[in-house]
Amino acid sequence: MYALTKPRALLRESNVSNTTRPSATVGTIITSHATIAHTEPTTPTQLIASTSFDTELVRVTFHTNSATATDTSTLVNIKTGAAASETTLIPNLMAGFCPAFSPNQGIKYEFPLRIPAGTRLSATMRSVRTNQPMYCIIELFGGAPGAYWVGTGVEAVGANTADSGGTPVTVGTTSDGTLTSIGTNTYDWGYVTMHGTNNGDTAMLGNNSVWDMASGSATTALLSGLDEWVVNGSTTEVTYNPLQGRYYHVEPGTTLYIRGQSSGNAEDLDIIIYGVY
Amino acid sequence: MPLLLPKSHGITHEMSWSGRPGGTTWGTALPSHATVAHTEPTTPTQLIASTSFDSDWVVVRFHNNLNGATNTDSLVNIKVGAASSEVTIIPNLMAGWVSDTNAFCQYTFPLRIPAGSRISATHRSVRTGVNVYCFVELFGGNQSMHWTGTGVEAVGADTATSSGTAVTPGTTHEGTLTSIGTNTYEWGYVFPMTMGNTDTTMTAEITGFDIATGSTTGDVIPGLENFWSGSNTGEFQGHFPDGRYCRIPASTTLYLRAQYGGVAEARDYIIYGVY
Repeated sequence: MYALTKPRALLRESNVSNTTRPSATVGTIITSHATIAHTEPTTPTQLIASTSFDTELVRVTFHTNSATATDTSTLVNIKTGAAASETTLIPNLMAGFCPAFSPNQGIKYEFPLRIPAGTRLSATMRSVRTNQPMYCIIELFGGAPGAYWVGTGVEAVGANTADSGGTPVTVGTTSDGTLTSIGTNTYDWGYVTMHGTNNGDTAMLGNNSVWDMASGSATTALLSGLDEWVVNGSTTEVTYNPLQGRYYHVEPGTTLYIRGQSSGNAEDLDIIIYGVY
Repeated sequence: MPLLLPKSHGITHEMSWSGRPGGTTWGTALPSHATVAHTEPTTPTQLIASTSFDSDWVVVRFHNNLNGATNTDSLVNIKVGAASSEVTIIPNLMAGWVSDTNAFCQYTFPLRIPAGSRISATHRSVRTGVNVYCFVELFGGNQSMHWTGTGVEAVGADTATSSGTAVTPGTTHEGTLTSIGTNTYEWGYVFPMTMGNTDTTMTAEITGFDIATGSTTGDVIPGLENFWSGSNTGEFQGHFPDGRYCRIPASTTLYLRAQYGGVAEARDYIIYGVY
Protein backbone atom coordinates (compact mmCIF):
# COMPACT_ATOMS: atom_id res chain seq x y z
CA MET A 1 0.00 0.00 0.00
CA TYR A 2 1.52 3.34 -1.05
CA ALA A 3 1.84 6.05 1.58
CA LEU A 4 0.17 8.86 -0.33
CA THR A 5 0.17 12.28 1.22
CA LYS A 6 -3.01 14.04 2.20
CA PRO A 7 -4.42 16.19 -0.57
CA ARG A 8 -4.04 19.93 -0.41
CA ALA A 9 -6.62 22.45 -1.49
CA LEU A 10 -9.39 21.35 -3.81
CA LEU A 11 -10.69 23.21 -6.83
CA ARG A 12 -14.11 22.76 -8.37
CA GLU A 13 -15.96 24.15 -11.35
CA SER A 14 -19.18 23.24 -13.07
CA ASN A 15 -21.58 24.22 -15.81
CA VAL A 16 -23.95 25.03 -12.94
CA SER A 17 -23.01 28.27 -11.26
CA ASN A 18 -22.67 28.30 -7.49
CA THR A 19 -25.18 31.14 -7.47
CA THR A 20 -27.82 29.19 -9.39
CA ARG A 21 -30.88 28.54 -7.30
CA PRO A 22 -31.39 24.78 -6.87
CA SER A 23 -34.25 23.39 -8.91
CA ALA A 24 -35.41 20.35 -10.82
CA THR A 25 -34.22 21.99 -14.04
CA VAL A 26 -30.66 22.63 -13.00
CA GLY A 27 -28.00 21.88 -15.61
CA THR A 28 -27.50 22.41 -19.32
CA ILE A 29 -30.19 21.17 -21.68
CA ILE A 30 -28.81 18.89 -24.35
CA THR A 31 -31.12 17.75 -27.13
CA SER A 32 -31.19 14.73 -29.40
CA HIS A 33 -31.18 15.09 -33.18
CA ALA A 34 -34.25 16.97 -34.39
CA THR A 35 -35.35 14.41 -36.95
CA ILE A 36 -33.10 11.34 -37.02
CA ALA A 37 -33.08 8.79 -34.21
CA HIS A 38 -29.79 7.36 -32.94
CA THR A 39 -27.81 10.18 -34.51
CA GLU A 40 -25.67 12.86 -32.89
CA PRO A 41 -26.76 16.43 -33.57
CA THR A 42 -24.36 18.24 -35.86
CA THR A 43 -23.46 20.86 -33.31
CA PRO A 44 -22.44 19.83 -29.79
CA THR A 45 -23.85 21.81 -26.89
CA GLN A 46 -21.25 23.74 -24.94
CA LEU A 47 -21.00 22.91 -21.23
CA ILE A 48 -17.92 24.87 -20.14
CA ALA A 49 -16.24 27.45 -22.39
CA SER A 50 -12.74 27.05 -20.92
CA THR A 51 -11.72 25.01 -17.87
CA SER A 52 -9.81 27.02 -15.33
CA PHE A 53 -7.50 24.35 -13.86
CA ASP A 54 -6.10 20.88 -14.57
CA THR A 55 -8.94 18.52 -13.72
CA GLU A 56 -8.35 15.20 -11.94
CA LEU A 57 -11.91 14.01 -11.36
CA VAL A 58 -14.93 14.40 -13.63
CA ARG A 59 -18.48 13.86 -12.44
CA VAL A 60 -21.35 13.83 -14.95
CA THR A 61 -24.99 13.76 -13.87
CA PHE A 62 -27.97 13.34 -16.19
CA HIS A 63 -31.57 13.81 -15.22
CA THR A 64 -35.10 13.97 -16.57
CA ASN A 65 -35.11 11.64 -19.56
CA SER A 66 -37.82 9.03 -19.07
CA ALA A 67 -41.46 8.38 -19.86
CA THR A 68 -43.77 5.63 -18.71
CA ALA A 69 -44.09 2.68 -21.11
CA THR A 70 -41.62 4.33 -23.46
CA ASP A 71 -38.18 3.38 -24.75
CA THR A 72 -35.92 6.31 -23.87
CA SER A 73 -32.56 4.76 -24.76
CA THR A 74 -29.95 7.52 -24.98
CA LEU A 75 -26.17 7.82 -25.28
CA VAL A 76 -24.21 11.00 -24.57
CA ASN A 77 -20.71 11.89 -25.73
CA ILE A 78 -18.68 14.39 -23.68
CA LYS A 79 -16.32 16.26 -25.97
CA THR A 80 -13.35 18.59 -25.87
CA GLY A 81 -12.16 21.12 -28.41
CA ALA A 82 -13.11 24.35 -30.07
CA ALA A 83 -16.44 24.75 -31.82
CA ALA A 84 -16.56 22.71 -35.03
CA SER A 85 -13.42 20.83 -33.98
CA GLU A 86 -14.74 18.75 -31.09
CA THR A 87 -13.45 15.28 -30.34
CA THR A 88 -15.04 12.79 -27.95
CA LEU A 89 -13.35 12.43 -24.58
CA ILE A 90 -15.98 10.32 -22.75
CA PRO A 91 -18.02 8.23 -25.18
CA ASN A 92 -21.47 6.73 -25.03
CA LEU A 93 -22.62 7.47 -21.50
CA MET A 94 -25.94 5.73 -20.94
CA ALA A 95 -28.48 8.45 -20.17
CA GLY A 96 -31.89 6.99 -20.98
CA PHE A 97 -34.48 5.62 -18.56
CA CYS A 98 -33.21 8.46 -16.42
CA PRO A 99 -35.22 9.84 -13.49
CA ALA A 100 -35.85 13.43 -12.55
CA PHE A 101 -33.24 15.27 -10.47
CA SER A 102 -35.15 14.97 -7.23
CA PRO A 103 -35.17 13.03 -5.05
CA ASN A 104 -33.28 10.21 -6.73
CA GLN A 105 -30.77 12.47 -8.36
CA GLY A 106 -30.60 11.08 -11.89
CA ILE A 107 -27.80 8.98 -13.37
CA LYS A 108 -24.28 9.74 -12.19
CA TYR A 109 -20.81 8.87 -13.44
CA GLU A 110 -17.39 9.60 -11.94
CA PHE A 111 -14.07 9.26 -13.73
CA PRO A 112 -10.56 10.02 -12.41
CA LEU A 113 -9.62 11.79 -15.64
CA ARG A 114 -7.15 14.52 -16.46
CA ILE A 115 -8.48 17.43 -18.51
CA PRO A 116 -5.98 20.26 -19.02
CA ALA A 117 -6.81 23.81 -18.04
CA GLY A 118 -8.19 25.89 -20.89
CA THR A 119 -10.26 23.08 -22.39
CA ARG A 120 -13.69 23.71 -23.89
CA LEU A 121 -16.21 21.00 -22.96
CA SER A 122 -19.35 20.13 -24.87
CA ALA A 123 -21.76 17.24 -25.32
CA THR A 124 -23.98 15.53 -27.86
CA MET A 125 -26.99 13.33 -27.21
CA ARG A 126 -28.21 10.53 -29.48
CA SER A 127 -31.50 8.86 -28.64
CA VAL A 128 -34.24 6.58 -29.86
CA ARG A 129 -36.42 9.68 -29.42
CA THR A 130 -35.83 12.70 -31.67
CA ASN A 131 -35.69 16.30 -30.52
CA GLN A 132 -35.77 15.18 -26.90
CA PRO A 133 -34.18 17.43 -24.25
CA MET A 134 -32.54 16.28 -21.04
CA TYR A 135 -30.31 17.87 -18.44
CA CYS A 136 -26.56 17.44 -18.03
CA ILE A 137 -24.47 18.61 -15.09
CA ILE A 138 -20.70 18.34 -15.31
CA GLU A 139 -18.46 18.94 -12.31
CA LEU A 140 -14.67 19.10 -12.44
CA PHE A 141 -12.37 18.69 -9.46
CA GLY A 142 -8.63 19.28 -9.27
CA GLY A 143 -5.89 20.84 -7.27
CA ALA A 144 -5.27 17.81 -5.05
CA PRO A 145 -2.28 16.24 -6.83
CA GLY A 146 -1.24 12.83 -5.70
CA ALA A 147 -4.42 11.91 -3.85
CA TYR A 148 -5.42 9.29 -6.40
CA TRP A 149 -4.55 7.73 -9.75
CA VAL A 150 -5.74 9.73 -12.77
CA GLY A 151 -6.06 8.61 -16.40
CA THR A 152 -6.17 10.52 -19.67
CA GLY A 153 -9.10 8.97 -21.54
CA VAL A 154 -12.28 6.94 -21.21
CA GLU A 155 -13.29 3.93 -23.30
CA ALA A 156 -16.77 2.40 -23.49
CA VAL A 157 -17.20 -1.31 -24.20
CA GLY A 158 -20.58 -2.67 -25.24
CA ALA A 159 -22.19 0.47 -26.62
CA ASN A 160 -24.53 0.13 -29.58
CA THR A 161 -24.93 3.50 -31.23
CA ALA A 162 -27.41 2.04 -33.73
CA ASP A 163 -30.01 1.73 -30.98
CA SER A 164 -28.58 4.28 -28.51
CA GLY A 165 -28.12 1.46 -26.02
CA GLY A 166 -25.69 -1.14 -24.85
CA THR A 167 -25.34 -4.89 -25.05
CA PRO A 168 -28.43 -6.78 -23.84
CA VAL A 169 -27.82 -9.32 -21.08
CA THR A 170 -30.52 -11.57 -19.67
CA VAL A 171 -30.33 -11.81 -15.91
CA GLY A 172 -30.78 -14.97 -13.93
CA THR A 173 -33.42 -15.17 -11.23
CA THR A 174 -32.79 -17.89 -8.68
CA SER A 175 -29.21 -18.24 -9.90
CA ASP A 176 -26.64 -16.11 -11.68
CA GLY A 177 -27.29 -15.55 -15.38
CA THR A 178 -24.99 -16.58 -18.21
CA LEU A 179 -21.71 -14.73 -18.60
CA THR A 180 -22.25 -12.70 -21.77
CA SER A 181 -19.57 -11.05 -23.87
CA ILE A 182 -19.79 -7.27 -23.79
CA GLY A 183 -16.76 -6.46 -25.92
CA THR A 184 -13.00 -6.03 -25.93
CA ASN A 185 -11.11 -3.02 -24.64
CA THR A 186 -8.39 -1.34 -26.66
CA TYR A 187 -6.56 0.49 -23.87
CA ASP A 188 -4.94 -0.41 -20.56
CA TRP A 189 -7.51 0.54 -17.93
CA GLY A 190 -6.87 1.64 -14.36
CA TYR A 191 -10.46 2.37 -13.31
CA VAL A 192 -13.72 0.61 -14.18
CA THR A 193 -17.36 1.53 -13.88
CA MET A 194 -20.56 0.37 -15.55
CA HIS A 195 -24.17 1.20 -16.12
CA GLY A 196 -27.27 -0.76 -17.02
CA THR A 197 -30.55 0.53 -18.39
CA ASN A 198 -33.53 -1.14 -19.87
CA ASN A 199 -33.40 -1.96 -23.56
CA GLY A 200 -36.26 -1.71 -26.05
CA ASP A 201 -38.60 -3.30 -23.51
CA THR A 202 -41.04 -0.60 -22.48
CA ALA A 203 -42.52 -2.47 -19.53
CA MET A 204 -39.75 -2.52 -16.94
CA LEU A 205 -40.31 -4.88 -14.04
CA GLY A 206 -38.80 -2.85 -11.21
CA ASN A 207 -36.18 -5.36 -10.12
CA ASN A 208 -32.96 -4.99 -8.23
CA SER A 209 -30.05 -6.73 -9.89
CA VAL A 210 -26.39 -7.38 -9.17
CA TRP A 211 -23.71 -7.91 -11.80
CA ASP A 212 -20.33 -9.62 -11.98
CA MET A 213 -17.61 -8.96 -14.58
CA ALA A 214 -15.31 -11.61 -15.98
CA SER A 215 -12.58 -12.05 -18.56
CA GLY A 216 -14.20 -15.14 -20.06
CA SER A 217 -17.40 -17.14 -20.19
CA ALA A 218 -16.59 -19.54 -17.35
CA THR A 219 -17.16 -18.89 -13.68
CA THR A 220 -13.44 -19.30 -13.13
CA ALA A 221 -12.89 -16.21 -15.27
CA LEU A 222 -14.72 -13.90 -12.85
CA LEU A 223 -12.61 -10.88 -11.95
CA SER A 224 -12.13 -10.65 -8.21
CA GLY A 225 -13.12 -7.19 -7.11
CA LEU A 226 -15.35 -6.50 -10.12
CA ASP A 227 -18.28 -8.40 -8.65
CA GLU A 228 -21.64 -7.35 -7.25
CA TRP A 229 -22.37 -4.12 -9.10
CA VAL A 230 -25.83 -2.90 -8.18
CA VAL A 231 -28.54 -1.73 -10.60
CA ASN A 232 -32.05 -0.82 -9.46
CA GLY A 233 -35.07 -0.46 -11.68
CA SER A 234 -38.58 0.87 -11.41
CA THR A 235 -41.87 0.04 -13.10
CA THR A 236 -42.00 3.66 -14.23
CA GLU A 237 -39.23 2.85 -16.74
CA VAL A 238 -36.28 4.33 -14.91
CA THR A 239 -33.08 2.79 -13.60
CA TYR A 240 -30.81 3.91 -10.78
CA ASN A 241 -27.18 3.12 -10.08
CA PRO A 242 -25.29 4.02 -6.93
CA LEU A 243 -21.92 5.62 -7.71
CA GLN A 244 -19.63 2.60 -7.72
CA GLY A 245 -16.50 3.05 -9.86
CA ARG A 246 -13.49 0.96 -8.86
CA TYR A 247 -9.74 1.23 -9.39
CA TYR A 248 -8.81 -1.93 -11.27
CA HIS A 249 -6.23 -2.82 -13.89
CA VAL A 250 -7.75 -4.36 -17.03
CA GLU A 251 -5.15 -5.12 -19.69
CA PRO A 252 -5.78 -4.07 -23.30
CA GLY A 253 -7.32 -6.72 -25.51
CA THR A 254 -9.39 -8.17 -22.68
CA THR A 255 -12.81 -9.41 -23.73
CA LEU A 256 -15.12 -8.48 -20.89
CA TYR A 257 -18.10 -10.59 -19.93
CA ILE A 258 -20.87 -9.85 -17.47
CA ARG A 259 -23.63 -11.77 -15.74
CA GLY A 260 -26.54 -10.55 -13.66
CA GLN A 261 -29.00 -11.86 -11.14
CA SER A 262 -32.38 -10.26 -10.50
CA SER A 263 -34.53 -10.04 -7.42
CA GLY A 264 -37.60 -10.78 -9.55
CA ASN A 265 -38.34 -12.16 -12.98
CA ALA A 266 -35.84 -12.37 -15.81
CA GLU A 267 -35.51 -9.24 -17.90
CA ASP A 268 -32.86 -8.04 -20.31
CA LEU A 269 -30.84 -5.00 -19.39
CA ASP A 270 -28.46 -3.19 -21.69
CA ILE A 271 -24.97 -2.97 -20.25
CA ILE A 272 -21.96 -0.76 -21.05
CA ILE A 273 -18.64 -1.05 -19.19
CA TYR A 274 -16.43 2.04 -19.01
CA GLY A 275 -12.71 2.16 -18.37
CA VAL A 276 -10.33 5.03 -17.67
CA TYR A 277 -6.90 4.61 -19.26
CA MET B 1 0.23 17.48 -12.13
CA PRO B 2 -1.09 14.17 -10.81
CA LEU B 3 1.30 11.78 -9.14
CA LEU B 4 2.44 9.06 -11.54
CA LEU B 5 1.03 6.02 -9.81
CA PRO B 6 1.21 2.59 -11.42
CA LYS B 7 -2.15 1.03 -12.17
CA SER B 8 -3.50 -1.31 -9.54
CA HIS B 9 -3.15 -4.97 -10.43
CA GLY B 10 -6.46 -5.88 -8.94
CA ILE B 11 -8.62 -5.34 -5.94
CA THR B 12 -10.48 -7.55 -3.60
CA HIS B 13 -14.07 -6.98 -2.64
CA GLU B 14 -16.13 -8.34 0.20
CA MET B 15 -19.55 -7.44 1.49
CA SER B 16 -21.88 -7.81 4.40
CA TRP B 17 -24.47 -9.22 1.99
CA SER B 18 -24.37 -12.02 -0.51
CA GLY B 19 -26.52 -14.02 -2.86
CA ARG B 20 -29.61 -12.96 -4.66
CA PRO B 21 -30.49 -9.28 -4.71
CA GLY B 22 -33.41 -8.50 -2.48
CA GLY B 23 -36.12 -5.97 -1.97
CA THR B 24 -37.18 -4.00 1.07
CA THR B 25 -35.22 -6.20 3.47
CA TRP B 26 -32.04 -6.45 1.38
CA GLY B 27 -28.95 -6.25 3.57
CA THR B 28 -28.55 -6.63 7.31
CA ALA B 29 -31.32 -5.35 9.58
CA LEU B 30 -30.03 -3.01 12.26
CA PRO B 31 -32.64 -2.62 15.02
CA SER B 32 -32.80 0.48 17.15
CA HIS B 33 -32.99 0.07 20.92
CA ALA B 34 -36.12 -1.88 21.85
CA THR B 35 -37.39 0.56 24.45
CA VAL B 36 -35.19 3.66 24.79
CA ALA B 37 -35.05 6.29 22.06
CA HIS B 38 -31.74 7.85 21.03
CA THR B 39 -29.79 5.02 22.65
CA GLU B 40 -27.51 2.43 21.10
CA PRO B 41 -28.59 -1.17 21.60
CA THR B 42 -26.33 -2.98 24.03
CA THR B 43 -25.24 -5.55 21.51
CA PRO B 44 -23.99 -4.41 18.09
CA THR B 45 -25.17 -6.37 15.06
CA GLN B 46 -22.40 -8.20 13.27
CA LEU B 47 -21.92 -7.31 9.60
CA ILE B 48 -18.71 -9.15 8.69
CA ALA B 49 -17.19 -11.77 11.02
CA SER B 50 -13.59 -11.27 9.89
CA THR B 51 -12.37 -9.17 6.99
CA SER B 52 -10.17 -11.11 4.63
CA PHE B 53 -7.83 -8.35 3.43
CA ASP B 54 -6.63 -4.84 4.28
CA SER B 55 -9.41 -2.54 3.10
CA ASP B 56 -8.68 0.89 1.67
CA TRP B 57 -12.21 1.88 0.56
CA VAL B 58 -15.43 1.43 2.53
CA VAL B 59 -18.96 1.82 1.16
CA VAL B 60 -21.93 1.92 3.56
CA ARG B 61 -25.52 2.00 2.30
CA PHE B 62 -28.80 2.32 4.17
CA HIS B 63 -32.38 1.91 3.01
CA ASN B 64 -35.94 1.36 4.22
CA ASN B 65 -36.19 3.64 7.25
CA LEU B 66 -38.99 6.12 6.71
CA ASN B 67 -42.66 6.57 7.38
CA GLY B 68 -45.12 9.19 6.16
CA ALA B 69 -45.64 12.15 8.51
CA THR B 70 -43.15 10.65 10.95
CA ASN B 71 -39.79 11.71 12.34
CA THR B 72 -37.39 8.87 11.50
CA ASP B 73 -34.10 10.42 12.65
CA SER B 74 -31.43 7.72 13.03
CA LEU B 75 -27.69 7.53 13.53
CA VAL B 76 -25.58 4.42 12.93
CA ASN B 77 -22.14 3.63 14.34
CA ILE B 78 -19.93 1.24 12.38
CA LYS B 79 -17.65 -0.64 14.76
CA VAL B 80 -14.67 -2.97 14.78
CA GLY B 81 -13.63 -5.46 17.41
CA ALA B 82 -14.61 -8.74 18.97
CA ALA B 83 -18.03 -9.21 20.50
CA SER B 84 -18.36 -7.18 23.71
CA SER B 85 -15.22 -5.23 22.84
CA GLU B 86 -16.42 -3.19 19.87
CA VAL B 87 -15.12 0.32 19.25
CA THR B 88 -16.62 2.81 16.81
CA ILE B 89 -14.61 3.40 13.67
CA ILE B 90 -17.25 5.37 11.68
CA PRO B 91 -19.50 7.39 14.00
CA ASN B 92 -22.98 8.78 13.65
CA LEU B 93 -23.88 8.03 10.06
CA MET B 94 -27.22 9.63 9.25
CA ALA B 95 -29.61 6.80 8.37
CA GLY B 96 -33.12 8.14 8.74
CA TRP B 97 -35.64 9.43 6.19
CA VAL B 98 -34.33 6.87 3.69
CA SER B 99 -36.47 5.04 1.19
CA ASP B 100 -36.04 1.88 -0.83
CA THR B 101 -33.10 0.42 -2.74
CA ASN B 102 -33.71 2.80 -5.63
CA ALA B 103 -32.60 5.59 -3.34
CA PHE B 104 -29.86 4.20 -1.13
CA CYS B 105 -28.33 6.55 1.39
CA GLN B 106 -24.71 5.86 0.43
CA TYR B 107 -21.45 6.82 2.14
CA THR B 108 -17.95 6.28 0.76
CA PHE B 109 -14.74 6.60 2.77
CA PRO B 110 -11.10 5.96 1.80
CA LEU B 111 -10.45 4.17 5.08
CA ARG B 112 -7.97 1.50 6.06
CA ILE B 113 -9.42 -1.46 7.98
CA PRO B 114 -6.89 -4.23 8.70
CA ALA B 115 -7.52 -7.80 7.61
CA GLY B 116 -9.08 -9.92 10.32
CA SER B 117 -11.32 -7.16 11.64
CA ARG B 118 -14.82 -7.98 12.81
CA ILE B 119 -17.28 -5.33 11.57
CA SER B 120 -20.53 -4.57 13.40
CA ALA B 121 -22.99 -1.71 13.78
CA THR B 122 -25.48 -0.10 16.14
CA HIS B 123 -28.52 1.98 15.31
CA ARG B 124 -29.89 4.73 17.55
CA SER B 125 -33.15 6.36 16.58
CA VAL B 126 -35.98 8.59 17.68
CA ARG B 127 -38.08 5.47 17.11
CA THR B 128 -37.63 2.35 19.20
CA GLY B 129 -37.57 -1.18 17.84
CA VAL B 130 -37.35 -0.22 14.19
CA ASN B 131 -34.93 -1.49 11.56
CA VAL B 132 -32.76 0.23 9.04
CA TYR B 133 -31.16 -2.05 6.44
CA CYS B 134 -27.41 -1.78 6.01
CA PHE B 135 -24.84 -2.86 3.44
CA VAL B 136 -21.12 -2.60 4.04
CA GLU B 137 -18.73 -3.17 1.15
CA LEU B 138 -14.96 -3.25 1.48
CA PHE B 139 -12.40 -2.84 -1.29
CA GLY B 140 -8.64 -3.25 -1.11
CA GLY B 141 -6.15 -6.04 -1.07
CA ASN B 142 -3.55 -4.40 -3.27
CA GLN B 143 -1.56 -1.22 -3.46
CA SER B 144 -3.93 1.66 -2.90
CA MET B 145 -4.70 3.91 -5.84
CA HIS B 146 -5.82 6.76 -3.62
CA TRP B 147 -5.01 8.40 -0.32
CA THR B 148 -6.37 6.37 2.56
CA GLY B 149 -6.99 7.42 6.15
CA THR B 150 -7.27 5.49 9.36
CA GLY B 151 -10.35 6.94 11.01
CA VAL B 152 -13.55 8.90 10.45
CA GLU B 153 -14.74 11.86 12.50
CA ALA B 154 -18.28 13.28 12.50
CA VAL B 155 -18.84 16.98 13.18
CA GLY B 156 -22.30 18.23 14.01
CA ALA B 157 -23.91 15.03 15.28
CA ASP B 158 -26.45 15.27 18.10
CA THR B 159 -26.85 11.84 19.67
CA ALA B 160 -29.50 13.17 22.06
CA THR B 161 -31.83 13.56 19.09
CA SER B 162 -30.29 10.99 16.75
CA SER B 163 -29.68 13.76 14.26
CA GLY B 164 -27.33 16.55 13.30
CA THR B 165 -27.11 20.32 13.43
CA ALA B 166 -30.07 22.22 12.03
CA VAL B 167 -29.40 24.72 9.26
CA THR B 168 -32.09 26.99 7.85
CA PRO B 169 -31.65 27.45 4.12
CA GLY B 170 -32.16 30.50 2.04
CA THR B 171 -34.59 30.41 -0.82
CA THR B 172 -34.03 33.25 -3.25
CA HIS B 173 -30.50 33.65 -1.88
CA GLU B 174 -27.94 31.67 0.06
CA GLY B 175 -28.80 30.94 3.67
CA THR B 176 -26.72 32.01 6.65
CA LEU B 177 -23.41 30.22 7.24
CA THR B 178 -24.10 28.22 10.39
CA SER B 179 -21.50 26.65 12.65
CA ILE B 180 -21.62 22.85 12.52
CA GLY B 181 -18.71 22.15 14.85
CA THR B 182 -14.94 21.82 15.10
CA ASN B 183 -12.88 18.85 13.93
CA THR B 184 -10.23 17.31 16.17
CA TYR B 185 -8.13 15.62 13.51
CA GLU B 186 -6.53 16.70 10.25
CA TRP B 187 -8.80 15.50 7.45
CA GLY B 188 -7.88 14.42 3.94
CA TYR B 189 -11.39 13.63 2.68
CA VAL B 190 -14.72 15.29 3.36
CA PHE B 191 -18.22 13.83 3.06
CA PRO B 192 -21.28 15.83 4.20
CA MET B 193 -24.76 14.44 4.70
CA THR B 194 -28.20 15.87 5.41
CA MET B 195 -31.38 14.45 6.92
CA GLY B 196 -34.82 15.71 7.92
CA ASN B 197 -35.29 17.41 11.26
CA THR B 198 -38.20 17.08 13.65
CA ASP B 199 -40.56 18.55 11.11
CA THR B 200 -42.73 15.61 10.04
CA THR B 201 -44.21 17.29 7.00
CA MET B 202 -41.23 17.49 4.73
CA THR B 203 -41.46 19.62 1.62
CA ALA B 204 -40.21 18.56 -1.78
CA GLU B 205 -36.95 20.39 -2.37
CA ILE B 206 -33.75 20.49 -4.35
CA THR B 207 -30.92 21.71 -2.14
CA GLY B 208 -27.47 23.03 -2.80
CA PHE B 209 -25.09 23.59 0.10
CA ASP B 210 -21.58 24.90 0.72
CA ILE B 211 -19.01 24.32 3.49
CA ALA B 212 -16.90 27.14 4.95
CA THR B 213 -14.34 27.88 7.64
CA GLY B 214 -16.16 30.92 8.96
CA SER B 215 -19.39 32.84 8.91
CA THR B 216 -18.70 35.09 5.94
CA THR B 217 -19.01 34.31 2.25
CA GLY B 218 -15.28 34.71 1.79
CA ASP B 219 -14.78 31.75 4.10
CA VAL B 220 -16.42 29.22 1.75
CA ILE B 221 -13.82 26.53 1.12
CA PRO B 222 -12.86 26.28 -2.57
CA GLY B 223 -13.90 22.88 -3.84
CA LEU B 224 -16.46 22.29 -1.09
CA GLU B 225 -19.27 24.20 -2.79
CA ASN B 226 -22.49 22.92 -4.29
CA PHE B 227 -23.21 19.61 -2.67
CA TRP B 228 -26.68 18.45 -3.75
CA SER B 229 -29.59 16.75 -2.05
CA GLY B 230 -33.32 16.41 -2.56
CA SER B 231 -36.44 15.44 -0.69
CA ASN B 232 -40.10 14.69 -1.24
CA THR B 233 -43.35 14.96 0.64
CA GLY B 234 -43.22 11.27 1.57
CA GLU B 235 -40.71 12.26 4.29
CA PHE B 236 -37.88 11.02 2.12
CA GLN B 237 -34.47 12.71 2.01
CA GLY B 238 -32.56 11.95 -1.16
CA HIS B 239 -28.79 11.99 -1.09
CA PHE B 240 -26.14 12.63 -3.66
CA PRO B 241 -23.12 10.63 -2.41
CA ASP B 242 -20.39 13.19 -2.81
CA GLY B 243 -17.09 12.66 -1.02
CA ARG B 244 -14.21 14.97 -1.96
CA TYR B 245 -10.49 14.79 -1.28
CA CYS B 246 -9.72 18.05 0.50
CA ARG B 247 -7.38 18.82 3.39
CA ILE B 248 -9.01 20.37 6.45
CA PRO B 249 -6.53 21.28 9.21
CA ALA B 250 -7.28 20.06 12.72
CA SER B 251 -9.33 22.39 14.95
CA THR B 252 -11.16 24.01 12.06
CA THR B 253 -14.66 25.21 12.90
CA LEU B 254 -16.80 24.23 9.92
CA TYR B 255 -19.81 26.23 8.78
CA LEU B 256 -22.48 25.31 6.30
CA ARG B 257 -25.06 27.26 4.31
CA ALA B 258 -27.85 25.95 2.11
CA GLN B 259 -30.19 27.19 -0.55
CA TYR B 260 -33.49 25.55 -1.50
CA GLY B 261 -35.47 25.59 -4.68
CA GLY B 262 -38.73 26.14 -2.80
CA VAL B 263 -39.69 27.29 0.66
CA ALA B 264 -37.28 27.40 3.58
CA GLU B 265 -37.27 24.34 5.81
CA ALA B 266 -34.48 23.57 8.26
CA ARG B 267 -32.62 20.29 7.81
CA ASP B 268 -29.96 18.62 9.89
CA TYR B 269 -26.39 18.28 8.68
CA ILE B 270 -23.33 16.31 9.70
CA ILE B 271 -19.92 16.69 8.07
CA TYR B 272 -17.68 13.62 8.07
CA GLY B 273 -13.94 13.67 7.62
CA VAL B 274 -11.40 10.91 7.07
CA TYR B 275 -8.11 11.43 8.86
